[in-house]
Amino acid sequence: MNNVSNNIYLDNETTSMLIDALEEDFIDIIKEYMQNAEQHIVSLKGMDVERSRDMIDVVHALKGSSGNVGAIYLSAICDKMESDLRLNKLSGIDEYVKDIDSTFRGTCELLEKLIQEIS
Amino acid sequence: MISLDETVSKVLVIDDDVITRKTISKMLSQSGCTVYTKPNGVEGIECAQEVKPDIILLDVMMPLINGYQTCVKLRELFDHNEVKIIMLTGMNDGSSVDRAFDAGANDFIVKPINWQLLVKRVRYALRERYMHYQLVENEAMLKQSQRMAGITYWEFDPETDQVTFSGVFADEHLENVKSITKDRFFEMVHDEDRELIHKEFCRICLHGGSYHKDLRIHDKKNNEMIYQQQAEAMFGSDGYLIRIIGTLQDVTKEHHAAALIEYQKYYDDLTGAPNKSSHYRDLDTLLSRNKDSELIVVLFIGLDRFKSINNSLGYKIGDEILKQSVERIKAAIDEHCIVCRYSGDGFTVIVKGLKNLGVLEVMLRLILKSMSDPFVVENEEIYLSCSIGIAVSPLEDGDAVHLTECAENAMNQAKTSGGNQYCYHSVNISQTAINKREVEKQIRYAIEYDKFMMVYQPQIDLRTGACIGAEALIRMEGQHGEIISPLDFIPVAEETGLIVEIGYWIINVVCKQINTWESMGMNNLRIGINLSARQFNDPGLVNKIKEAVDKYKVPKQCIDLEITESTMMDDMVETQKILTEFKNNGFTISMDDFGTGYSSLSYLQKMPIDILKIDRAFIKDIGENGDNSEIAKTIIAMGHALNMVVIAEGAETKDHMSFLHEELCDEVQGYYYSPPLEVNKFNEFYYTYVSGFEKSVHCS
Repeated sequence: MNNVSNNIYLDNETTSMLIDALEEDFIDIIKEYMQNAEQHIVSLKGMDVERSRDMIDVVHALKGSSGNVGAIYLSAICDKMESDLRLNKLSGIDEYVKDIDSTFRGTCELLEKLIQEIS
Repeated sequence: MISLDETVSKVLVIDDDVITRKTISKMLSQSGCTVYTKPNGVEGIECAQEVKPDIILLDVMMPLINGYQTCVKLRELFDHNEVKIIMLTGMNDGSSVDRAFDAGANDFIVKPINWQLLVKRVRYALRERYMHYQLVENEAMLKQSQRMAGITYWEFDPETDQVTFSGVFADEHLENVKSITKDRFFEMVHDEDRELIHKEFCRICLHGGSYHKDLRIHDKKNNEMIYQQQAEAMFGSDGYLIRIIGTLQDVTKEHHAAALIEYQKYYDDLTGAPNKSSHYRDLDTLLSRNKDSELIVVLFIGLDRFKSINNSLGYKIGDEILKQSVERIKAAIDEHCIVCRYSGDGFTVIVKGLKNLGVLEVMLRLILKSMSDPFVVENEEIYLSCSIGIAVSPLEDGDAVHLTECAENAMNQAKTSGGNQYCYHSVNISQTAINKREVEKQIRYAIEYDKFMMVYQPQIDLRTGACIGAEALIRMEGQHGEIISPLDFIPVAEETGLIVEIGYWIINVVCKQINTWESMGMNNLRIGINLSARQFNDPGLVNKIKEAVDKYKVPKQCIDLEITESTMMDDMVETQKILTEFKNNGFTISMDDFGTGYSSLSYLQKMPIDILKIDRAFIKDIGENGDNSEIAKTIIAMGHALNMVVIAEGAETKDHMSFLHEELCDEVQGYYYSPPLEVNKFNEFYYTYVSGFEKSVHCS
C-alpha cells in the first residue's frame, strides 16, 4: 500500500494493484505514461476546436491510459471533454484543456512521489 | 493446433495505447500466457493469422481501422470457439456493447480496466474455450466409441411423438434428420419383428418397465441390419410418461458370426448339406416328437467304388462328385426329407411323413437310378453307383444312433451283395454284425496264438499232366479247435484291416515252405498267394514280399501273386504301378476269379498279368443245363490272345476236363485232381504227378 492517499487524482486501489502486479516494471510504465500523456496534452493545446474529430481521438486515448494507471480524475475530465466533443458542444473545450493540463500536473506530482516511495 | 491448457495460452492484445498494451502484457505473462501486442487493427489481424491466438483483447477506438471493423475481419478468420475476442471499450453504453457483440466479440471489458478483473475474465474466457474443446473432443470420442460399438442412443418424447436418435443409427437409416415419429420408426422395422417390438413399446408406455429385443431394419443401401434394442420408460411423480429412453446396438456382425458358427457346426463345408451332427439333432428331435408312431425312415447311402475315383482321378473330381451326389439325392427325394453328408462318401436321408413303404420304394429306385447316370466332371464321364441301407422306425427300436447304425449295416450288406442296390435292415443283418465282431475276436486270437495254417491246392499242366504248382490257401483254427472257413473270416479280416498282418504271415510261411520243397528236390513249384486290396494300401508291400523271398532264397518266378478284378479296380493307377514293380522284380502275376467282375479287356491290357484264372462259376455248369461254356471259351481265347497262361478253377468232373482240353486251356485247379492239401499230403500228390498224366484225361 502506497502512502499517496487522500487525493482526488489517483485511485489508490488501482495503483496498489499495479505496483503489486507489475513490480519493478511499474516505474517504467508510469514514466512512459507521463511522457505519452504530456504529448497528448501538447497536441490538445495546439489543436483548434474545429478539429474536434482529432481532439476526440487524442482525449479518448488520454482518458483510457489515465484510467488504466489509476489517474481517475484526469480520466474523468477527459471523458467529459470527449462527450462534449461528440455532442459538438465546443464552447467549453478550451477550459477542459486547461483543466486537463493542471490536473495532469497534479497527477504527475503524485505519481513522481509514488515512484520515489517505491524505488 | 488448439491449446487445451488455459495456463499456456496465446493472447494477442490490440490496443493503440502503449501503456495498456504493456500493462496487460506484463500481467498476463505473469499468469503464464504468451502475449503478443499490436498497436492497431491491421497489424493485429496479420499477427492473429500468424500466431493463431487463443484469445484476443481488442481495443475499440484505434487509428486506421477501429476495433469493430477489426473484430469483423478476425471473425472471418476464426469462429467464436476457436478464438475468443474480448473488446476493451471506454464506452459502456448499450449500443457500443451491442455493436461489439454484433461484430463478433465474445465479451467486453470497460475501461478504465479493472486489472484484477481483467486477468480473471481472460482466464474464464480461456477456460470456457478449453472446456468447449474438451466437450467437442469428448463428443467426438463418444461418437467414435458409439460408432465402434455400433451404439445409438434414442429417446421418445410422448409430447411430440418423436423418436430422436444420436449416433450411427441416424447416419445409416435416416435422411439428414435425427428425429422421426414413432410410427415411422415402427414402419422401418422388419415385418416379422414389428408386431413384437410395437407390443413391447406399448407395454412399457402403459405399465412402465423395460424391454430388450433384437430387431431387423434395412439400411439406406437395403442391407439388412440387426439391432439389439433396449428401452426403458420414465414416469413423472404425477404418473404420466415423461419419456422412453434406450439404445440400439448394431449386432449384425455378431449375428452373422453366430450364424456362421452354427452353420459350421451343422453343415458340411464341401456340399453345403447338413452334416452328421445335424443328422442326429434332427433325427433325435423327430423321434422324440413321434408320439403317434408315424413312420420315420433313415436311408444310409454309400457311394460304390468312390475311393478308387478319389485315388485315380484326384480329390478335386472326387469332391465334385460328392457335391453332385447331394444334388442328385435331393432331386430324387421328397422335399420334406432331410439329406445329410454323414461321412466321406456316406449320406443319410431322413424320410418322414410316409403313408406307406411303397412310396419309399419309388424313392429308392429314383436314387439308385440318379446315381448310376454318368457324372460329368471336367468333360469326363464317370460311372458310379450307390448302395442304400434302410432302417425304419418304429420297426426298429432305439434312438437316433441305433437307427442310423442299422441303416449303415444294411448299406454295408447292400455293398457286400455287389452294390447298386438297396437293402432293408433286419435282425439278420444285426446278427451278421454281431457275428462279424465274434469272428474278429477269433482272428485276433489266431494271430496271437499262431492258429493259422496253410493248405495247397495243386495246379496241373493240362498238356503234360504234371503238377506245376499250387494255390496257397489259409485255414484258421478257432478257440475251440474248430476250423473256420476262409469264406467267414477273410471278409472280416479285410474289413478290419487285419488281412494285412495275415497277408505277411502267409508270405513268410509260403516262402519257407518253398525253400523246404526246393531242398527236397521239388523244384520250381509256382505257388499262388492271394493279395488283398487292403495290402495294396501298404506302401511297404513290395519290399516286405521281397524281403521274405530273399530270406528264404525263393526264385521270384515261383511266387505267383494273385489279385482279383475288384482289387485292381479299387485304385487302378496305384495297382498298376505296384504290379509293374512286382513284375519287374521277376514275380508272376495272376488275375484271380476272372469273369465275375468287370472283365474288361482294356483293363487287362494295361496290367502286367501273366496268368488268367477263370472263375469256378464258369466251369461248374459245363456239361449241364444252362452251361457257361461259351463264356469260358471266350475267356480262354482272350487270355491266349493276350499271351497269358489260362488256368481254370473249380474243375471237378470229366466233362470239365474234356472241355478244357478241347479249348486248349493251359492249366487246371480243382477237386477233379485234388482238394487243398496239407503239406504232407501235397508232397505225396506231387510225387504221384511229377511225371504227369497220372489222372489226365485223354482227348481225342
